Amino acid sequence: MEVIDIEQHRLIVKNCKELIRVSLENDIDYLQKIMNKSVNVIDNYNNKNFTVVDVTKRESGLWKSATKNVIYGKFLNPIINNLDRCHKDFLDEQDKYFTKKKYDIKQEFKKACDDTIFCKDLQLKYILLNRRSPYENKSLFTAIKETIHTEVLKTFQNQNQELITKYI
Amino acid sequence: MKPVNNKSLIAFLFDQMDRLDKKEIDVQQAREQANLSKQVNNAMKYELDRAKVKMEIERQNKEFGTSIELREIESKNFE
Repeated sequence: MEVIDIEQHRLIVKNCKELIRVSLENDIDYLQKIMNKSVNVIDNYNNKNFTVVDVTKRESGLWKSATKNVIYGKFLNPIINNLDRCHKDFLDEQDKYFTKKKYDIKQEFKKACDDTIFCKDLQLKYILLNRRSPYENKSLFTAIKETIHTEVLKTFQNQNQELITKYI
Repeated sequence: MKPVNNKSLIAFLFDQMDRLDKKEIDVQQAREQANLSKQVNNAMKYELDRAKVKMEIERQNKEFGTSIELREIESKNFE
């Protein structure tokens, strides 16, 4: 399957969706049939090549929040927990200071997550995995997810060495 | 020995998923492959943590003039 053919099928799906929104009721089935043909071609291509050529905005957003959750869990939360432990030993006057400090650190990590460049293929593998049902092959599903998480952590760690060691 | 990185591990696991769908392997085999790859992933996580500790020690040594070293737990390098 040529890449140019896939692009054509993507355009067919995109335009069919728009047409279905505004078309007459009698025509919807026909348009749906045309669209489904292209959807099947794209799905087969995705599965055969272990990739995703039709990433949706929602899926991109899910990938971003997944990377943030993994990174925050490993690097940010321990720092915040440590601060909270120190916080409770201090009087209320220090409350503002600790609250601001935590906010600043969270913003720093948020920016670092947004600026980190992850391999595009990693994102596509994550999206491809999420399109499959986790219940069919639960152990394989979990193993792939954990490997992707490790790669996310490795990438973040390599690109943000200074930030990671800043709050030890 | 074939070099393994996360990319090749992920490709291998997707391939196993595909083979399971086509009934070329059974659920038990797939589960065993997944468990083995989890062990590989654990080794990679260990390396990641080790690298992080080395970075922290380097920073500590630079900032405070200390000379802390990370003890090598293996007496011989992996060759």
